[in-house]
Amino acid sequence: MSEPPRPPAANGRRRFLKAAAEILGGLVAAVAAAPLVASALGPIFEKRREHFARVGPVDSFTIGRPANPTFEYRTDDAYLHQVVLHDIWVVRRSETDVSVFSTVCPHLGCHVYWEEQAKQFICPCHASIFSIDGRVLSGPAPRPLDTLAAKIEDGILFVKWERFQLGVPKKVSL
Amino acid sequence: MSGRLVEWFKERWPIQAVLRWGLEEDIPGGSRFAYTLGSCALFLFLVQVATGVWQLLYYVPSTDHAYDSVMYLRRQVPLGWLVHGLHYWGANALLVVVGLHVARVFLWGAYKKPRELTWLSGVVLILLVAGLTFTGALLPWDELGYWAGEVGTSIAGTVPWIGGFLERFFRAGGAMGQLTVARFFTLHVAILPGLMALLVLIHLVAFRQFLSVGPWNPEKLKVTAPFWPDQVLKDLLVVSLLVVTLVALSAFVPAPVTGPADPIDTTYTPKPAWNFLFLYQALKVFKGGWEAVGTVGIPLALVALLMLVPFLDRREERRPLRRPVAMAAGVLFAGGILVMTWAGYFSHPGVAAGPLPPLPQPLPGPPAELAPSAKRGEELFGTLGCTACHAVSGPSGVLGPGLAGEGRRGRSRQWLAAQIRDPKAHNAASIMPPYAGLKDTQVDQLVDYMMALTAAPPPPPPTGAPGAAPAIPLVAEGAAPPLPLSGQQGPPGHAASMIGDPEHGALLFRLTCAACHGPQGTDNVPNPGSDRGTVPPLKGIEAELFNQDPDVFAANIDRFIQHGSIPKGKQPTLRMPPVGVTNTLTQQEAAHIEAYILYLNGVDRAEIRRPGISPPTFFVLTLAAFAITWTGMGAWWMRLRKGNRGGG
Repeated sequence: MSEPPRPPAANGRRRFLKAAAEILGGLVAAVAAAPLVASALGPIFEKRREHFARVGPVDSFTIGRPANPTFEYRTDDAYLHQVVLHDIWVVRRSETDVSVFSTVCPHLGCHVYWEEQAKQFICPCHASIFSIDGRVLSGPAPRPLDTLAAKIEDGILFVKWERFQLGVPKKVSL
Repeated sequence: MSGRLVEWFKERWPIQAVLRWGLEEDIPGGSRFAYTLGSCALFLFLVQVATGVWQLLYYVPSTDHAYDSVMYLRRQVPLGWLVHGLHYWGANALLVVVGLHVARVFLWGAYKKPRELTWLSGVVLILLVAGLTFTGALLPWDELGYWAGEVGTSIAGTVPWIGGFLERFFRAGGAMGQLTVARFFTLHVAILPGLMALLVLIHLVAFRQFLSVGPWNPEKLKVTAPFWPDQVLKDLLVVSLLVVTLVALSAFVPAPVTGPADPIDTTYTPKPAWNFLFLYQALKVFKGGWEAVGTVGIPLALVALLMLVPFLDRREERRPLRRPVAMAAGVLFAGGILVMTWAGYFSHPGVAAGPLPPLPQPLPGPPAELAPSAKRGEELFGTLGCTACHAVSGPSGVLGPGLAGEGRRGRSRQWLAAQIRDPKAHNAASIMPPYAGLKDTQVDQLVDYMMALTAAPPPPPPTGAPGAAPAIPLVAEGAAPPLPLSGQQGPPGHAASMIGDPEHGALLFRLTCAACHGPQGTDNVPNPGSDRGTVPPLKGIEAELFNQDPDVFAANIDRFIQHGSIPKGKQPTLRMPPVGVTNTLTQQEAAHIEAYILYLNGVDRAEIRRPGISPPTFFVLTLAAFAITWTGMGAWWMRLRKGNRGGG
């Protein structure tokens, strides 16, 4: 059973109706989607503004032995404004030469610890091993331990807490 | 009246057509218990929806309240333990049932034309279930969920090209935080369940379109049985067993209490949930540039393989014995995942990545004999209580730095003497008590002893655990507050209201508290100068601190942990340092230790305060209700069969 032929004018009208409905529907969907996409993706590219926080007197760190001090850090986590605790690995090489490493393993984010006898940093999750100066000795870690910006003022160590992208060879600030 | 009402509805909504569509179906080969798995999965999905929605009455999706709100539901809400337990065990059961369902469908060859879409929608459903277990685990913001989220989103970050974006997308930024909880929450309670409901509908419509595939033996296909009530009854029999099992698990094996999330807890070693263990194990095989193979390649390959099954195996043959290639591939696939899961379950975190590199050569041992003055110093070191905080033959990890090898550290005699007399001279925040009352000769003897400590520390315990990591910083921030006298501590801190994990608390106790309190909390460590003469025991704790109510008991102990204390007596050698208010321990760590101390005294920190009906009673009632029903139905069935035989 075939459809009766339509007059050309009706064909043109139907084509218009279909196309107009599709265009209008598409526009409605696009306008509705814009806020959804933008609000879901917007905050993820925002960088947190990090600042230097007081850790403690430099003299309290023994030269040549990594220390794992905890310090208070004011964070602005979206709408939560809190003081949280962070910890770091401080390696003091001389009176004034201090390196500060993030405790976050650059592989997948577990917490590295210092193995005193072997004199190595070790990640408990996938057994990445780092030397005292942060170099990767073995394991899956793609880059050395991340250093954190640090400064000494009047004998007090200040550190800027930061997170970096994990699992990649390059140290990319998040 | 009700008849007219039904008629009224029937004229306006196709009730009968919908019921017919749902229930009237002829099953080729008759009903079977093997076909109940799909219905069980559907039932479990509905349980998840119901218990999930009900948890929303209490749950708060925020980093500072999520854990406490979940523990409130579990401990303080009548039958809240069951709502939570059913959701937790229902999720686990769903994974198992879905796995069995896939295996059953594969064995029957029920994915073949024209049922490819039923299979494909099923594979998508598996992915959604995996996504729901991953997002759901994070929501309590406990140690388990936090670390699974941290590592899981990092894994997403290793995807080539788009990894960085994915990681940021899931975390809603660079680091895990409040917006991460909000995002996982939205995914877990709205987006993924919505998609799942849609896919379940597609799966069911596709299934109804082509009906059951039936037995592979064509002879058996001649008989049929209706879905309602034949198959539905079998479905419900299995579902009722499932219900009893879920209630039993909820009552007797509650979900683990791992304590509130603590991003800086060095002693927690994350390990994924059992259903992700095979990926965890696979990840250990691939390192460096190959990492993405483990994190992305293998999961994608597994999913692709599952999706391709109906297109790779297109012959009509359904008999398993005539499909050797498919069967072998299926066994390899399932066996591989099971073996990897098994290996992952028993693998110590990190260990599978290879042995540790050789340790450095030990340094020369201690001198055979101490000089007389140093020998006297060694005795003083013991009687003055220095051993409580300083280890001389092991790594640090107690309150003070380890003194093994102190003589090689290059410190002058004057420095050591000053440290003994007035520790604050070197570090204003030191919590070491001053020994200003010692005679010069005594200080000299102590210094002689320390200068003689030239040996390397012995090897740490042979585990991968961070046993040697000092959880205690060498300095506390700011000036140390004055220690309160025993019984005069300030108020409890946040830790008092957090539900800690006693097992984790035991580990933290060994690292932090055991030096003064003894490894078991019962060791009567000497404390010269105190009225008591020893450190008070923590097991069989003083009556004034003990309380049967875990919340009160924890608060009593927390005041000591937060503020420290000076024991009663003239000049007690050992004093409890304020490890809470000085941030020496995080509040979460303090909560774990409190849970352990409660455990030592026979009190469960996570005890259910308002169970409604106690878990064992509820289980017995459930079992009794089902047992009576099953028995009654069984008797009815037997009578019917007897009657049929008599009549025939």
